[in-house]
Amino acid sequence: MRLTVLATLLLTALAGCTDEGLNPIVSKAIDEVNPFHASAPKPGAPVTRAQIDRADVATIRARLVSDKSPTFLVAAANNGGYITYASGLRQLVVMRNSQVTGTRGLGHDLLSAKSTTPDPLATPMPVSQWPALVQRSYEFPANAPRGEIETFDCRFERGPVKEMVILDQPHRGQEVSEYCEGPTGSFEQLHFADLATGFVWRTLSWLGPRQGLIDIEIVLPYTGSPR
Amino acid sequence: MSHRRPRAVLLPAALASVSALALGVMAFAQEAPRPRPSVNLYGNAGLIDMPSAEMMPDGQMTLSWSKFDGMSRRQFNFQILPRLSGTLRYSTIDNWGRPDDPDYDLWDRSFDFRLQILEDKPGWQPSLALGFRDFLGTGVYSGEYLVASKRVVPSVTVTGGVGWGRFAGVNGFKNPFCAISNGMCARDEDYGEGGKPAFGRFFRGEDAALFGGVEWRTPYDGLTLKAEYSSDAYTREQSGPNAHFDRKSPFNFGAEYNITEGITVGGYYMYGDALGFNIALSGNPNKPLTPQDLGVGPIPTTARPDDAPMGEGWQNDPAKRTRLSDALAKAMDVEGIRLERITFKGSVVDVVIQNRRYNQQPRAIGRATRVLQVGMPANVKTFNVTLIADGLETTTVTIDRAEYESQISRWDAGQSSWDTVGLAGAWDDPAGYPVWTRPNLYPSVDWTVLPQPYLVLLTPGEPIRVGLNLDANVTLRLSQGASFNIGVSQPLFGTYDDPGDSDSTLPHVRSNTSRYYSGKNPRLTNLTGDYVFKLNENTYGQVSAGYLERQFAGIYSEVLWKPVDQSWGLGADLAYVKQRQWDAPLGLTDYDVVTGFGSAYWETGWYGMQVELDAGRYLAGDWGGTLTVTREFPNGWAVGAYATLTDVTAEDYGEGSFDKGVMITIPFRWTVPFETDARNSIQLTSISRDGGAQLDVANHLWDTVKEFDRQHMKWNWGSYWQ
Repeated sequence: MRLTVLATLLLTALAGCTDEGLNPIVSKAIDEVNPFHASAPKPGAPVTRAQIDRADVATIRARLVSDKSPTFLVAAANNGGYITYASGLRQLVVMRNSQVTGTRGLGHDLLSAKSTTPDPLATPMPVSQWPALVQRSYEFPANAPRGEIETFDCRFERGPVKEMVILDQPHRGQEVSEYCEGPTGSFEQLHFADLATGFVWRTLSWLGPRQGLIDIEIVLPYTGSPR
Repeated sequence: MSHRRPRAVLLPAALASVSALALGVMAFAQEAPRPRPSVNLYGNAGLIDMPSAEMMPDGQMTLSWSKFDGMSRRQFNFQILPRLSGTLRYSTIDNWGRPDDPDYDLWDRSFDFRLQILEDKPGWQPSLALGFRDFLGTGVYSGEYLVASKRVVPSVTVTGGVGWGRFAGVNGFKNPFCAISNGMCARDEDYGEGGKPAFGRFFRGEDAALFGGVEWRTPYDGLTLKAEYSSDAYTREQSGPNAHFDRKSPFNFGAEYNITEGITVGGYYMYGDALGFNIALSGNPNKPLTPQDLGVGPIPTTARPDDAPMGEGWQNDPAKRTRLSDALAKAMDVEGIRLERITFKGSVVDVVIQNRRYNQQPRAIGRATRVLQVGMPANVKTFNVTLIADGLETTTVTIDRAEYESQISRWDAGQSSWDTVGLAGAWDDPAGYPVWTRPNLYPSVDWTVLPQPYLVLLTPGEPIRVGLNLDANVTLRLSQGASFNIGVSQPLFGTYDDPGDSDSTLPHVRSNTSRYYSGKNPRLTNLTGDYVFKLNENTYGQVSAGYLERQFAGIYSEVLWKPVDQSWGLGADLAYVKQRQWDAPLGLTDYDVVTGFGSAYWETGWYGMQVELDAGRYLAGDWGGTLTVTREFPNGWAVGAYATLTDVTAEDYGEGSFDKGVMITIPFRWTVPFETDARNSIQLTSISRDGGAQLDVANHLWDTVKEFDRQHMKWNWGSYWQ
């Protein structure tokens, strides 16, 4: 209890108090550590495939590698094939098929991202047809209308064929490692591509030097046409 | 597989635990950044007592405290520009001694500048810097130097230099500038009240001398070892009748340990005689203490469907307009934005909002636009978003809806949107259009309670004062422009007793400042009735009456002309004030004065540098001008220095010769991982003297308006989509 009060006081003191109240995330954090919080959520039952199918809304499951557990995000907007997935805490991940092109509310925003064509993450194709090289550019916040842009040359390296279960649904696919190098550094991504279509069901994608990697599983893919 | 479309209503939060990630974790590999230079006992980048030619990262600020034997130095160092740094210092030297007072301890202010001429580059080029130490103070530490540093291997930096003045104390050689003029061989040692640049002593003196040293960043993480040869003789420090420092050797040795990012401690063996220490706290406006943003993301938006109904009939139905407006207002409330007014102009809507959460105004505009995009019927093609600050409608941002829709989630949307929005000074002209005004908007009460730390250096009689107040401010707003404001400050720690009346020969308009802030009782800082208004889209005005600030009450008026697209503005203010009694919350003294200024403001666009020039009559009735140069960072940090010259003589002014000081403004957002628009100003140096003193009125129009101009908007426009 003392710790809770202390944490509350500390956060309040740091933020200052206004008639606006506390930041919702801070409120949530305080609620989380406050054992007397009336509406403290109890651990719920795991989300099932049946529930997802019933909802019939494109869904991804995402987890920052620094986090313990993943979060489900559902498709909330489509802008020309850029699908915005949102969590209940309004964390946003923007994807073009399996290519992450933006994040909000995760800690360090990825403003936007682009890649050269063809990019098998953005346009599914059998792994055998994946290009030797894709150039990826990322835009991070900066003190200007245009963010700070970092560009990397990425090459793919095929791994073993294996089976992977994503929320009770088995997929047979191939692991593909992606090695990216640029003037500012290098990173690796890892993808699990459908054996038949090349659609990437799971990807460990880079969100930037500060945010690191995010593990995304496509639980129910978006199948509507781009608008 | 069914045809799935996204839906606007989100599923409830669904958090579930899953098995550990089967995929490997890979890290981003980056070249290790160059370590930040270490700080010497004078607060500059350097060895132990000697400087180096290295520069701190741009914008870096370092507070340090060093001590050896009876010498103690507290200093603030700021990397003003990538190649220019400055240091303010307050030193005490025990047992300095004077003929009339053998036990006299010296309290001394000093100010340094360092300019890097060359940058350390791979190969043979070292960094090269020219430094001026104590060039503005009373000259106790006065010296100039030219120093070179070279990182010979990644962990070892070697430094060597030549110095004049204090740096030419031992083992010197004939000053080479003596060859130019005999006058260069004589160094002016009469510093008077200090506070003026001492051009008469730069690079002068009979001797110059060499100094140098080496710094090794050991493989033990955070540990640095240093050794140096010092050319400082410390002659005066040893000559006092009670002095016990005995300089036996020119060599100094030390070890420093970086406890954590921004905190370094060091221990030293000085001049073969004394042990010393140094503690340095360092931070950078460009590197927030908590870089993460734990705030929620913006609401997802999408373009209007091609087949969306484009009828305008709803605009003619007051009930529909009200329902829509109320819903938009509620949605914006959640975003920390208060929607105050909507004017419906057919395919154009004008909305007036108040940002109540975000440190960066474009983020508030972006969040408001998203709400409008989701909620406004499809026939609306243009959003004019006007921001209110302190009751003033500042800037109107015009957003073409179709352009906006084409940019959502796209690559480089920040630049695309900046290229397509319009900015103009706000000027409301409803011209008979239907207007929705937020119900029960006025009267309204806004309040804040903020911890207000302060750090005052260089106050006569007291070298350093650190404290914390809890400041409460309440605004009762009767209309958009009219309000009553009250501020109360409760000292929490760092309190002190009344120091007594000042001995200044001028009217005691500021020299009694310490009295006004003494004691532990709550203080009424201000109690005013205020009215702000616009004369046209580029001209702002305000009138305030009451207890304007802690020390003065009266009536104050101000006008400012500042077009949004212009980098400069002009202002004027006029006030009639009476001095408040320091020990009575509402009492007034007999002293009154008419004070006023003409002001010119210029945002240079160069490293965020802003220049302000005020000319007019000051509180003590003196006439003169104040030059303020401030470096503002896009995240709200600001570091400014000012100097005032008036017709008050240096003798009448007293120690320091003329008024000058440094102010730092720190946005709370820099210290916490979520959005807040709260800011804190820390007074680092203020010699509270009576000459050149100005009213300290809250909400100067320039401070209110400037962050809504094109330059500030452009700086922060990247946050529009965040």
